Amino acid sequence: MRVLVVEDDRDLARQLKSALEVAGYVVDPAFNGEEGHFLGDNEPYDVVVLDLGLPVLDGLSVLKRWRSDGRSFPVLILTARDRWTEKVEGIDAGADDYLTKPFQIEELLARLRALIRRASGHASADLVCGPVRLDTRQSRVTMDGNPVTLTAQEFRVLAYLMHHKGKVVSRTELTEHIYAQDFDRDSNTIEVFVGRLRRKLGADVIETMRGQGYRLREPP
Amino acid sequence: MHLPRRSSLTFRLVAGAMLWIALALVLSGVALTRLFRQHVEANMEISLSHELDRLLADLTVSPSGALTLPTRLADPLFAKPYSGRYWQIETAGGDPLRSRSLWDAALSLPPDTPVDGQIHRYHQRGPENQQLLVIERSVLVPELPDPVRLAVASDHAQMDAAVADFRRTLAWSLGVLGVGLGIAVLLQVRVGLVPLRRLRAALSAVRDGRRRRVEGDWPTEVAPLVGDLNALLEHDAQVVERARTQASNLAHALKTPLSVLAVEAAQRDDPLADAVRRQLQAMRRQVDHHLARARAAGAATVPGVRTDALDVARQLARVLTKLHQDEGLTFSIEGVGAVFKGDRQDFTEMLGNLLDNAAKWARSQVRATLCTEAGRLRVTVDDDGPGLPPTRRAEMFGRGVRLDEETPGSGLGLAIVRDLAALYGGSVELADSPLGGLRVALDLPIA
Repeated sequence: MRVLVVEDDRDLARQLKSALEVAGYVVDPAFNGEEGHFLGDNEPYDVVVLDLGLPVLDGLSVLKRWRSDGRSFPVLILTARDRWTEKVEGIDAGADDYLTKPFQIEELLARLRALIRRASGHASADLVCGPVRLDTRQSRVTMDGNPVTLTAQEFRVLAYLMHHKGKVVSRTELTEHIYAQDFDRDSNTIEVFVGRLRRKLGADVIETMRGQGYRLREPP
Repeated sequence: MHLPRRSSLTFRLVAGAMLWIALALVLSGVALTRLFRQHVEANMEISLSHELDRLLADLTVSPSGALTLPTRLADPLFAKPYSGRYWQIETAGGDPLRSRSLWDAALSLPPDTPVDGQIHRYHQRGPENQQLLVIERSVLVPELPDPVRLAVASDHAQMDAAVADFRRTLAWSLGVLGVGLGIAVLLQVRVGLVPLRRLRAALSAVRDGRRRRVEGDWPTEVAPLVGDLNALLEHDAQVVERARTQASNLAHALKTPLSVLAVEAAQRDDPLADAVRRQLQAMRRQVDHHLARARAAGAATVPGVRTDALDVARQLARVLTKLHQDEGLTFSIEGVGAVFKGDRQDFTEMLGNLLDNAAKWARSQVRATLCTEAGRLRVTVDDDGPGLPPTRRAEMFGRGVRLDEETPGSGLGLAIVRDLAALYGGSVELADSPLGGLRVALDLPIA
């Protein structure tokens, strides 16, 4: 899952990045409104954390531009502005959630999970596919109830496929969602991660659709 | 009509005008009476001098040198004793002739010798103490060595009666004129001061929040005042807006560092981190509370603001439905035409906190009812949560107290609502909800 964090305070941005990475997300930070808007406009994010008081271009304007351009990723506003009129304004501009500073990292993570789950149409915090169960709260995977140890990349590939269970996901799409923007991408590495996942979870969990990509298969 | 107070404009204008009117009427009364008296006196002198001419024409001197008057003067008053009309003719060394009306009295002419043909006048006492006007003429008759003195007199009383009569009539007329002018002045002042009464009504409309500024066409004397007043109102609003912007900037400036410190402290588990966490919590409460107060402080004093309370409620319900999407809460708003007298942001803040608080406890629904009755806006927010026993309700308003640490939120919500409501002269009360949970009732004056 790839997250865009638009926050002008470098310390807070660093803290958010590391906390989100620990939770299994790939994070792109942006330090002003214009940069944030550009990234959101060009990269496929699964969720966005947006500050409102930003230099160059304020957060509300960024959000309104994205929405009027048809960008539909879930957006959580993370701001010091805690008046209800400001919350109304934020939600009306197209935000999906609103969290005021100071906040607890756990609460931010819980809300982001909920936003991603809602966006992909899942009702539960646990994603299940046959014997494989992915707990989004703990970032843990079990197979028939036994814990499975996955590397960060393997976890991200599996999480993305689990969120899009039953749909064909192209290699490019997977790459875009598991690597940060500045990472030197190589779509061949996806094949390596899928291979490792098959070894750990069973060969027929991930189906290869020739020339199209991968699909998580629900066993009959 | 009530009596205007001494310090009122009406009193000053009316009293001033009345003083001038009274002075002018008294002066003209005196002047007119004087003129009339002079006129009457002149008339009397003319008529007396005619009588004198007639006497002179009739006067003959007998061969013996005695004065005789062969015909009687026409005026019957000369024949009636003490009638007030008299004549007398005398010459040195001869018997004087007197009108019958003089009876046994005589006009005692002063030792005066007017030149021939000249007329002299005197005032003197006559018979029965009458005030007489006497006119006298000296004539040289060829037959006599000494000049003949002819005098005609008339009682002042007749003239005085005429003057007194005139004065009475004049006083009445001037009195009626004065009353008429007084009424005219009162009417004029009332009509003239109408714009001031209108201005007062317009200002009370501003104070009551029915208008933001003083509107309408005003006379040129009042228009600059209205302009200044509007400028002042506008300036007030700007000051409040600036204060809010500054408060908001301060919030942003303080809260991000608080966040950073909180996250940093959360990653460590030692006494320092513990202390930092506790202090951060305290700082956060202080910042929240005082920012909320600073924002609200100016708001209640800006006149002329009204807010459609129902519109705010629907907006908040929409937002909260989205924020609590996962819990599947329903927010229902009931009420008609409820209006809040005050700033929209403040009302949004109060109702937002109430609804949010209810949403934290509710199982499936939150209901807000807004109604206006007897000059007050009553807002009740119900939830179907576990409710709260009466003994613990007071704690809800405690600064930063959270009854249930599991439920997210700072717990400041209700305290902020109570403080804001108090600024507007309202109150917040807790009760049992018919939905099973807690009812929070907000009561605000709108008169």
